Amino acid sequence: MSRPELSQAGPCAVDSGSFRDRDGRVYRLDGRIVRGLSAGALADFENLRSKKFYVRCLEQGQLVGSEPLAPERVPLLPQERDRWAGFLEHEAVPVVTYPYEWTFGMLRDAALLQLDLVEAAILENMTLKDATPYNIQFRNGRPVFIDIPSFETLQAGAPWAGYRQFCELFLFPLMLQAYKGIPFQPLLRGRIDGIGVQAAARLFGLRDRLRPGVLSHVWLQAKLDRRFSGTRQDVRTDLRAAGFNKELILANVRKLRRLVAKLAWEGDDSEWGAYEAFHNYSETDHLLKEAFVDECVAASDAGLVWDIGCNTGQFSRIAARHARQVLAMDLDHFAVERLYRAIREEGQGNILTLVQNVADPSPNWGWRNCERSDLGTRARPDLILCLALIHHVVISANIPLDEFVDWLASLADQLVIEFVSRADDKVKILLRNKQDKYSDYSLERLEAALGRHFVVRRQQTLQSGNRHLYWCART
Amino acid sequence: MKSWHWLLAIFLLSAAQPLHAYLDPGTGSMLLQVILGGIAAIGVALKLFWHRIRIALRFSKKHAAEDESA
Repeated sequence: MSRPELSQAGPCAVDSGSFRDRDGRVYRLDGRIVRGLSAGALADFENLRSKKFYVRCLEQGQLVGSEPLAPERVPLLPQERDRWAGFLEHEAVPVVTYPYEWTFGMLRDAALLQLDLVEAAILENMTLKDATPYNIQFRNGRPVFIDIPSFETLQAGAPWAGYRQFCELFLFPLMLQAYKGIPFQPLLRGRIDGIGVQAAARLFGLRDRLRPGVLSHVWLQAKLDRRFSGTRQDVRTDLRAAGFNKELILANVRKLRRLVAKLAWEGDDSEWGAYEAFHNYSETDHLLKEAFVDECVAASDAGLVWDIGCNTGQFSRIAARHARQVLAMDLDHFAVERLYRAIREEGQGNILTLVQNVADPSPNWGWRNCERSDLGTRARPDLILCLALIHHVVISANIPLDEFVDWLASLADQLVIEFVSRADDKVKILLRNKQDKYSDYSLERLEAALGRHFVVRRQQTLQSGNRHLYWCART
Repeated sequence: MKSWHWLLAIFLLSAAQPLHAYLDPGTGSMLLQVILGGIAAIGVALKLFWHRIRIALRFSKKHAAEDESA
């Protein structure tokens, strides 16, 4: 489904998710990322460029590269171009992802980066005006901050304006996952501003107040929020007059960093966390399947590969030998978390892990339903790996087989798909307690569905006779 | 949280008079930064609410005087 554009501004489109900060706007020009800046934001950028931490963080890959761009080189209509005092061009990240697609470890690493940047900025008399994970992306397995105009000159006596937003979009989701095992992704996908202070206070019970950070950042913040939400006092002015200073911000940010660094989650009910250890086919079949995937991806010439239902990511790794970028996704949070940790340690740069349920994928939503987009719009794949997944989609998620293949074909020109027959133990387990109304779940039906969209370039049945592999390409 | 954090929090919560003129959802969060700000925050907190302390003291004296004259 194509994403509607808010407006056209010459030979490019305004990024429909960049409207919140009135001091700038992002434009996408044939894959280039250009940002218009107000006079104030431009002055802040010039100030930022003079700071040591900016150079250091750029070298360490924590900030996306940004260069001023002469207005005459920006192909915008004059009325659009004249809105801005200046322009920046940013390095593009491989794929834009959202925090409700991340694992616990990804959100925690992003939170730590956010806090490190606030601390570094404050030490050199700058600050970050907000604290949202939507300003952070993943590149080479590491978080990178992309919203450079969030840095602004620190005003004397000003508190950290992003603290509450940090709590709602980073800290509360992480604490819910770490302390209570509640998945944060549905909560972040359900409210674009994250988990509100009052909602968080209700989600954490009395006993949870003994856990680090809950009493102060959740309970007390909720109390103060209720007490002061309607005050007529100009609290910013009062704080400045009372001598609020950057040492207070630094103390808070450092304490928050220690708190976030200690948050841990080791999964609880992961089905696929150790899939490699208990897959039910022989070592010979395993090797045959690996060779099939390796050869097909190599021959496909695909740049962007989705591995849907990646579990431990063993086939994502094979695809990553040949493709520019692999999106490894699974609905099992802990399986993806383990993969994220492994590739971060290995420095495996071109695999990006995502928590994603193909039966309930990321939607277009937010303001005008364009603020955040579906994954297909952000990263249309050249090839989809769909290995040992179709039985879950058809039998567990009740999605008709024909519709599933139609959906795959709507996204990619090439497909590597594995059919798991009814004689396989994995399918028997799924049907064990269900009434079998899945007459469409058959090899013949799959081949007919594939034939409507693709030609089969290669087909192989594994030695067990229960698993069938296809490499298909658009006709 | 240390005990003096609690004293400060209780003072803040008891001294403030909630008004509902307009929504200002960040105000409580800004004040929390003072409570959690460590030792350096004590002076800021005292200055921030000094006028409320004075009001509270005057209020008490006025009551005491009224009691004496009664």
